[in-house]
Amino acid sequence: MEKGASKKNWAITSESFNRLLDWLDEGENSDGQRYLEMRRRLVAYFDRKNCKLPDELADETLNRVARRLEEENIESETPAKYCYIVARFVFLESLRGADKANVPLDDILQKGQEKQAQISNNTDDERVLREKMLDCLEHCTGKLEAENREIIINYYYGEERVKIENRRALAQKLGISSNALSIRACRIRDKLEICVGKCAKET
Amino acid sequence: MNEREYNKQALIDYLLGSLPDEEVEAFDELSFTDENFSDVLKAAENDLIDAYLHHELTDADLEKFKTYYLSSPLRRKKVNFAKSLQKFAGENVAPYVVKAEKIVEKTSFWASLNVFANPVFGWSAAAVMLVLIILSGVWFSGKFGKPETDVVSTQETLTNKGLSEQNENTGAATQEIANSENKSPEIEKEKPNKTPNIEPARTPKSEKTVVPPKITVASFILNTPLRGAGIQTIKFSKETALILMTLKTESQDYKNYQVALVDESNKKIWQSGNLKIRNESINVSFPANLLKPRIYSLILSGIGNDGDAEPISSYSFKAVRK
Repeated sequence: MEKGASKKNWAITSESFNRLLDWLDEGENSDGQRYLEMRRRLVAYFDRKNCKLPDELADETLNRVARRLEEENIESETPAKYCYIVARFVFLESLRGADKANVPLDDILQKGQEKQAQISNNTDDERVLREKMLDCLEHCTGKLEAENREIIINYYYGEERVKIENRRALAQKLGISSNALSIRACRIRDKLEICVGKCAKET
Repeated sequence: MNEREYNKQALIDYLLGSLPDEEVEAFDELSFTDENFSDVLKAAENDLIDAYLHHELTDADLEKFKTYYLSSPLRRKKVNFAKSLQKFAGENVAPYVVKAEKIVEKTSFWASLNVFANPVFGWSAAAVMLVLIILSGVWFSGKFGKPETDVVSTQETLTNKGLSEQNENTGAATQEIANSENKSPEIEKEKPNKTPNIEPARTPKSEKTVVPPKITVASFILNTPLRGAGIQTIKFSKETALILMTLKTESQDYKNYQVALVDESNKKIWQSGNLKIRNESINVSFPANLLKPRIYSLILSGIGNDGDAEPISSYSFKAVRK
């Protein structure tokens, strides 16, 4: 009982958070990047599972890992694998949860169709939002290094053949494979998406 | 970096919630434990979203995308971001990457008419042209000595008709007068008299004729840009008032199109109104005085149902005033 109660009342401290960061870094100081990436993967995992609150479940997972680290050194699995195992438990618990954090499949399909219809109808709202996003993109791409800015703009320019030819030319210019370019563009896009998300909230 | 290949369709099925359970679990674990897989999955998701926005998904995938993928607020946010990013990229593209695309340099006059696509038709057309040339010669020889004002009037009529059609279009001008003459990169070899100079011919002073306005038009054909070709150079005289560009395109996806003239720093100098594709090409004209001796690009965009311009092609050229 006490153990259960203490588990419920446990709150992450700066010390346990730093321990978590070090453990995720596996000896290399990533300035918190490994933590952010792990959190991103957790959010994406819970989102793919159609969990209603993927951010909260991701934080719950990391809290549990941090609490476990306080109790003992985790050496049985790599940090990534261990986080996945804990995430699976958190997901299964959320399925059984009284608040029904997950949405049944039929509701998902229904919601998807409703949202699609909403998106088509709320063109004014969409336009305003898009204008805001464009302003934020201007601001956020301005913060990128020149080469990264060039990559992200040219990678996503054009359609079909123009896009393919553009990407081929870009990869050739940078001296990297198409796959490597794709992944590099993806990473820049992720950073932009986070920056734009913050910017859109502030404006 | 380990660049293992993953089955693209399997990744798409995974993202669209249609992969068998046992494979889902394997991918779930890989998304945490395998750096390469995580990167590839992210890239695949971005490609899936981009394919949706460009209407490139199969019917089955599109259905799943709409009903499953878009059911998540986070994923809808991704789609909205991607839409904005594409628009932003279209407005801010650096011409020099597109310049690396090959521009087909030489297209003969006949090929541009596609006359010989069908050999039978081609030879028949050639025979008809020959007859017309002979008849024209006979007709003109019969008209020898007649004041040249008739020719001038015809040209003026053509000009005025073109201009009035031009004015009908929203925004700037398009004109049906086209010089189908091929414009290769070696424009310097082109003789000045090949540009459709609407200047009136000499008229006898004794005749009371209305001198039509002098409008010098220089026209060029720009073909669909391909990777590797150099930039086309267009040369036109100081007297040229109007530049008429015929842009070759295979696009047929939109009801209306627009063309924007941008300089090397991506600054938009001029924008057309709504234009239509005719015979796999689009005609657009703009004042010649907009062009300095520099490199420019004409950005062809399709107008979507929501009114947004969606870039399709970019045609780069170097302007040289003789």
